[in-house]
Amino acid sequence: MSFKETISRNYKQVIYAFLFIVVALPLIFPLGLPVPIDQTTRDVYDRIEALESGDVVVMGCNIGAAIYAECYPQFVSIVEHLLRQEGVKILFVDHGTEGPIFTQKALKDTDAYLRKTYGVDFVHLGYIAGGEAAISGICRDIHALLKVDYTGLTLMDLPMMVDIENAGDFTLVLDFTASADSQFWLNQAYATYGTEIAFGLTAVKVPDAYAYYTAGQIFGIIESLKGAAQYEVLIGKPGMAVKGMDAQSMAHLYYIGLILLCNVMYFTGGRKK
Amino acid sequence: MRTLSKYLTSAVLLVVGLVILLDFAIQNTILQRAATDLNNWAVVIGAFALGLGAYSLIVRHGRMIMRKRELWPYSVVLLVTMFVFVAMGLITGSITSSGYSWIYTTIIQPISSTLYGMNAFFLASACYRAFKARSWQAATLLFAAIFLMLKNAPIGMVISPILPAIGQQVWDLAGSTGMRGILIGIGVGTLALGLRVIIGQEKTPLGGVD
Repeated sequence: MSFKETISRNYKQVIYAFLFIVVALPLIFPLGLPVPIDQTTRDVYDRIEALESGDVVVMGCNIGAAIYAECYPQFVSIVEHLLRQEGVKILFVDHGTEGPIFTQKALKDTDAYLRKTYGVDFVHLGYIAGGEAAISGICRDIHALLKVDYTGLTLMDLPMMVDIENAGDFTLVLDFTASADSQFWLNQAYATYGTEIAFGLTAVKVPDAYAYYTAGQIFGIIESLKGAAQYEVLIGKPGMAVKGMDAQSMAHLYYIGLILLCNVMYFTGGRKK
Repeated sequence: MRTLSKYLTSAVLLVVGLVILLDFAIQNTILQRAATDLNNWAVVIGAFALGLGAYSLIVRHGRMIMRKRELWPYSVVLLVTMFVFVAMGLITGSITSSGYSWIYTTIIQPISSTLYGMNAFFLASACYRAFKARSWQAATLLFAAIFLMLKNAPIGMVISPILPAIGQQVWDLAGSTGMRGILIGIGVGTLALGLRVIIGQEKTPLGGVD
């Protein structure tokens, strides 16, 4: 069997092997491609910059292991940015079962416990089951829904929680997810209380959210790994997302090359298959 | 007995649906309190549903193991993994404890990330096999995909600023407007379904009985 026949018979393996090389090389030898900032990302950054002392930001987390690479860099960058805002209160709410793991990881990775005071500057409510009902409960009356935080401390004993009752007290909601539950915040917080909302999403969920962005119902979107990289650049703390963008660029170029090759072969090969 | 159960379920759906719906429209303290309580019950039921799901999983896969059905060893893996995670959570008292985190970050996270990341390889294969300009519709889709990919990766801007700009136009004009139409359709459908549930015309919540 000739080399050409071997390649054509095992073309999938060849494609996979080249993809592996195309993705691995920029991770080992970074290209340092520029990261242009999208308006959707800048809007989130500008809104957080404009926060005032005493404002309350809700961080919704439905990050799981599968979407860790896309959504965690977004989440941790926003936490870092929020921690830099003087006097801003952060309320962490997990509406995915794996959420508490990544919320706690983000708090550790940003040294939140050393930089701010728990219960005064930030509170972690933990996982709340029930999907939209859980988010509705938080928006209606947190204290009617929950009596304790993630660690079992009584909510009313935490100074920050005394004045926070419902979504009317939230300045912003930022939700990180790969599923339809971002919509729940729109239904329960934006539609009922007019709370400003932004999302951090995986690439496949962005088209849904973009329709709300252009309609002015959400003020920004962190779009997948690209958005995370842009946010890392904006806050001046390049991390795992910026590193991943070179690999993503090369992978996209490779895909385009495959599409062109496929069509060249299709048109030159008599359009049989 | 079945008819009584059906009427009772319909009555509960009607009352709960109306209370929640009216609470959006009318400012009333009693109504608000009732709606909040009903909503919080839903959260508690949601928490119980997790336990119910675990019970259902144990029963179903327990049967598969007992009867040694096809692929039963996978059921053993599933149940053992589940019990190990539950035990670790109960022993350490938290899912963010070091022990639980170790299992999670060394087993679950790499497996989940790998499965998700494998999409990149399937995409590459699909690009080569399926993206052929067989018709003008397919050609439009193909060019839209190329411009969107160049919009989403920094390399597009490096090659030429025009490429991501075209991708942005595709995104704004076709992507956003198309998705808005779909979302409005879903909204209207959800409203119709909600009304059918409230007036008892929707049989699914009643277990599909007439």
